[in-house]
Formats: sequence, structure tokens, C-alpha cells
Amino acid sequence: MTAPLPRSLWILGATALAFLTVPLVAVGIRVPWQDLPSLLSTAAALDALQLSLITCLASTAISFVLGVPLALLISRLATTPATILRTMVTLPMVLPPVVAGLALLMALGRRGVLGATFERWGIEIGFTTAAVVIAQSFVAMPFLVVAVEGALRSTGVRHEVVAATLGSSPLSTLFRVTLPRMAPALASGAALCFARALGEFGATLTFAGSLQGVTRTMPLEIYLQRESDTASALALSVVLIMVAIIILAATGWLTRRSDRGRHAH
Amino acid sequence: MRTDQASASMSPADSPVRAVQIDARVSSRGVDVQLDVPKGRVVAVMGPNGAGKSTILAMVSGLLRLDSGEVHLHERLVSSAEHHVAVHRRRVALLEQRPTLFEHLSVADNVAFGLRVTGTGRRAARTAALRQLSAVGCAEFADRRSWELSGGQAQRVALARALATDPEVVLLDEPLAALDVAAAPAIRSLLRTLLDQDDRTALLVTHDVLDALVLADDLALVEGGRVTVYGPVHDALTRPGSGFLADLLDLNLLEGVAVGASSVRAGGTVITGVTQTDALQVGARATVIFAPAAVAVHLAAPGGSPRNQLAATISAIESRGGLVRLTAVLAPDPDGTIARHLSADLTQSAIVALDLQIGQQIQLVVKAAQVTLFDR
Repeated sequence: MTAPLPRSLWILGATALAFLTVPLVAVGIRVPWQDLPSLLSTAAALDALQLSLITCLASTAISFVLGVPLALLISRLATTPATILRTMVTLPMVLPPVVAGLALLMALGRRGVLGATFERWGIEIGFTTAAVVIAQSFVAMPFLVVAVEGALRSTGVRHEVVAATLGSSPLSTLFRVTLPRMAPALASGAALCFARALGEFGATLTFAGSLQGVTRTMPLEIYLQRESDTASALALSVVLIMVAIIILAATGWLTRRSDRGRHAH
Repeated sequence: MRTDQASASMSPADSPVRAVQIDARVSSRGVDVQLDVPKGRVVAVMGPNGAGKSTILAMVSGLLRLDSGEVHLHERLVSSAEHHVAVHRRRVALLEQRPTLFEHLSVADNVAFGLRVTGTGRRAARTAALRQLSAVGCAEFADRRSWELSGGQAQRVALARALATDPEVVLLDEPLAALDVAAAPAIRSLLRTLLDQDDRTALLVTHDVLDALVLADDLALVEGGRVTVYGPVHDALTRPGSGFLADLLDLNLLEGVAVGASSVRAGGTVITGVTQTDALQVGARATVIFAPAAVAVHLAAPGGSPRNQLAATISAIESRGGLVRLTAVLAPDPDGTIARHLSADLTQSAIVALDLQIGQQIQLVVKAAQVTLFDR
């Protein structure tokens, strides 16, 4: 089927496309490609790369272990309570990250609502690597919850009901039916979560600070180097762009796979 | 068909084990059900949409909790207001309209699923699954995925999966309704074979009289959340107690009061007929049925004593195959009976000869020998 669009749309559409791609192309043009290995192997760059990798894996794991159960719970609620919970969960996703960081500081910082108690027990969170993981989880977990909950809700519980009539306990049904059937949504939710955690800047800076090797992740390192050492900043940016492309490709592939399964019986 | 031990009472329970006993209420669904199913019988559960058929299945499977009353399976209490055995501990299999296969598993693993989750080893479960797949004629699909099957094949696999766990009760919720007309008859007869050979107890929700006649021993009619008729299929179908079954069978049905051993006041007149059971008790409620083909149409009352006459107004004329189906509304009844539609099947030439028009006053005439009377 073809339904023609007005020609004038082409100009606006092409402008939008250029607007969205030209900056990335500009990065590609300005990156000193031949120096990339040396730029990425400075102590500061290596520290940032390593810290980002570790904290993003940790926050994705935390988001997965806590977020999937939350998604399951919300998906089984009636419409109104589900909408309320979904809104509460989505809020950190749309909040300005700096506000998220401030909120975390108020809760878990040294004089925070909970942080003061933790400090009395000798646990300090603010401005540690743990704070980075917490900041990333706070802003990234909603992506996973929303993606998984949406997929759960759209498939319903027919398969789970059948599993129960076949003698499968709720725990067995979770691991043998629900999670395997959700595998594509879980993977793409986790990928989205990882991508968001990797790009986390505002909340991390506010809540965890910027200390090399402890809390200075790649986005913070890029921000720090953007004027003094533009080449290093560009090199690290290229890494982040590559990871983003890989994640997009992977989630697209997973979504197509899950569609095929869902359209079967 | 296993109609030997059937009785027409509300509890045909002379057999030793009572597989399903329901005496339960769920007020949110307006359901108040009593049903007693002996082991080895297949009960067709029929009734209008929203009457509570699926609710009965949900009471048995445990998907629905009771407000009051009890459900027993094989004489074990599984549901009451305080007590609720979880679905997965009931040994109840469910086959619905859609096969709902697990698409992340192979066909054989789907069938083996129930055995695997209840502790059977991988190899034994696979052997049993393959045996069950051959029983439904799907052995060659063992290593396929569910999306590679046709609708009929998928439903056969779902049946194999449901029976592989050797359930105490099989719940069939319109299992043939979503299949195309070509696939349904083969699966209907497969269902009959499998239900018969293992002497399964089953509840079968269906809208198709054919399903009830072919598959079921007994029929439970559910109307307004209650079981209004329960007995052997043939008795229930030929002894209708409601307009719903008459619609299914395409019979004219009138309710009235017996005024003689073989006459009933119904539809504003006295109808004489043949009693199916003993002589009617005068003053008792009685039912009149006759086939549309037994009805003749006259423009004026023809006289002649052994004929029943009903004054009516034509409301529709439509052709049906070689015949014409005429629908007429009974004249308002001085006894207060609600005006009812009656059907008459006539030839095209009769319509032309009488010059019948919608809205015309006519007399419907039925020979007494073609009218069946029941007491209820």
C-alpha cells in the first residue's frame, strides 16, 4: 500500500534527520582515529572505562534482580493500582538527573533521611563507588521495569494458568514458563537499562561526585576532558557511541524474535 | 456412549466414586451451583452466554475462590470459603479454545511439561510424551516448535499435554470452537476415543449440540448461574426444560399447565398431544414441544377435533434450503403467558397459495399425534 505524503514534508523530515545525525558525524570527523589506542590507554581513561563497565554491570544486575519481580507484581494488579505504581516507577525515568541525584542525597547522603542512620552503623554511601551504582540503578531500573511489565501485560497469564493445571507450582511456572517466554523482553529491558546506566551523568555527579577511579565514570571523564583534552574526550565518546549502536541493534533483533513467538498460537 | 447407569435425577450418583461434587456459590458472578458427577462420566455443560458455564470450570480448576459451599474432587475437599487447594495440586487438566502451547519448548517438551514439573525424570517424561503424541496422531511433530503447527495440530498437541499428566478431571472449555470446520470433526472423534478409553471424567463446555451428543453422557444446562437441567444427554435434549435447549434443537416449545392426562393449557388454548412419560397430573406444570415441520398454516380456524389450533401473527418469512421458515407470534394470552415465537416450515407453493404476508393473522395447526408433552 502506498499513500502519498505532501512533498513539503520531505524538507522538514530531511532537516530533522540532518539535525539528529550531523553531530554524530562531526564526532566521527574530529576523532583522531589513529591515536585511539593510546588515548584510551591513559590511566584516567582506563580508570573511567573500568569503573563504567563495573558499575553498569552492577546496576543492571541490581535492576534485574529487583526490577523483574516488581514488573511481575505490577503486571498482575488491576488497572488502577497498576497505573499508580507504574507512574511511581516511571518518575525517576523522566526526572531531571540532577534532581534524581539530589533526591538520593536527601535519602542516602550523610545527613539524609536514611543515610544518617546508616552512618551511625558505620555505613557511608555518598561519594563512593556504591553511590555510583545506586545513582545508575535509580535512573535505569525504571526502563527495565517498564519494558518487562509491558511485555508481561500484553501476553497475559493464559500460559501460566495452563502450567498450573498441569501441576506446576508458582515457582516452577515462573522459571519454566514466565521467564523463558519473557527472555526477549528481559534481554532488551536489560540492554536499555545498561545503556541508560552507561550514560548516567547528572545523578552520579550530584550524589557520587567525580573522583578518579572511584566515582568518575566515562561521561564524567568526558565532561572533565572536553576542553583540556578534547581528543581523549572524543575517544571515550566513540566508545559510548559504539556501545549504543550495539545495544540498539541487539534490542531490535530481540524484539523481532519475540514478535515471531507471540504471533504463534 | 456410557448411558447405562444414568438416571434423570439431579444427582446420578449411584456409582462408587464421585469425581466432582459442587455445591457452591460465588456471589460476584451470581452463581449458585449444585452438580454431582460420578467418576468416568462426561458432562456437557451448556447454556446461554454469561450463564456461568466457565465459572463452573473455574470452581473445579481452582482458578476461582468460593464465597460459600464446597467443591470436592474424588471425594477430597478442594474448595470452601476457608479452604482452597491450589490449582497445581488438583490434578485437573484444562483444554480451552486456543491451544496455548509453550512456544519456547518443542512439541514433545510441551507434552512432557506436566510430568517434568511433578518430578518425572527427563527420559521417562519424554517417552510418555511421545506415546501420548502418537495417541493424538502427532508423533512426527515431536521436535517441531508450536508455531510450525496448524490450528488442528496444535489443539491435538494441547490435548496430549492435558492428558499426559493422567488428570482426575478433564475440563474442556469449548475445545473445538476455534477450529475450522474441516479440523473439528476429526478432533471431536479423537476426544471421544481418548475420553472413553481411559474412562475419563470430564466437564465439557460447548455451544454445539453435536458435541454433547457425540462426547457426553450427561448434560447440565446452566441458566442464570444455576444448573436447571441435569441428566443423560438424550433425556435432557428430548425433554427440554427451557427455551435455550429448544432453540438448540430447533423445536417449538410452550410452557403451560396440565388440564388433563394428555392436554395442556398453553399459548392461550388447550393443546392435546402424546405424553412422553406417565399421564400428566392435572394442575402440574407441563411442557409442549413440536417440530416446525409439523405445523400447518390456515387462514381461518379449520375445525376438526384432533387438531390443535393457535392464533398467531406472522412476524417473519425466510427461505431455508428448499423450505420456507415462517415465524409467528402467538396472540396475547388471556392466561397471561408471555407471547412466544413459533416456527412453521412450509413449502414455497403453500406460501404463494395462501398469499401469506408479514403482519397477517393466521391459525397454526398441529396434529395431536405430532405434539409431545412432558411433565415439568
